[in-house]
Amino acid sequence: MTSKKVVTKKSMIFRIVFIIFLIVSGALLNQFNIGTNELFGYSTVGNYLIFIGFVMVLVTTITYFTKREKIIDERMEMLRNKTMTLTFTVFIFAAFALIIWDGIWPITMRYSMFISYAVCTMLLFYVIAYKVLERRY
Amino acid sequence: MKTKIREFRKEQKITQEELAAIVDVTRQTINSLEQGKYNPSLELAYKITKALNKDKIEDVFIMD
Repeated sequence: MTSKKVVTKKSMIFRIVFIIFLIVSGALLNQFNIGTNELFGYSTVGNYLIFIGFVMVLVTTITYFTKREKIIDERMEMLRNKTMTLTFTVFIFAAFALIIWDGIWPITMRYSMFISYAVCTMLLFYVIAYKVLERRY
Repeated sequence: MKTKIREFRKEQKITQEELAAIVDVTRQTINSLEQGKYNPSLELAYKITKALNKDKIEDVFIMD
């Protein structure tokens, strides 16, 4: 079934509230010196939240003025489902492999860095898998 | 699944984009259907059949 995804007023309000929440909480964290242990060795948690907030302002503004309407048809939904399944399966096997790897050669990387790499790898895998499946179907 | 979408589309003199707009899908989906890569849902098959002015789904879509 075909569905049209439109940037609605409701979703826009939700985004704006979320952006305000990010920036305000970031400022408050900095104000009260919470999370000031350097995250990833570069900045504080508050600064990262403020940075994400401003990036979202940029993305939301661009989305609002350009992509007012987007068609998602059944083929795209099928591709999305297949890609999600594939990514999840690969994630499970990768996690299992990492447990074994960690048992043999302990991973000494910082936890925050490790999670960042893992999330980025998963997103990258999702995009590549989607493109590959798009060619196939 | 084989289809006769391209054949009937050329008979009707409509482009992939026009057919896609009629049945509310993307042009890529029509292209994929014409190449037999993707099997449509019953709803989409029905819409395409109607858009191509055919009576039966079997006239447009042929099972291998």
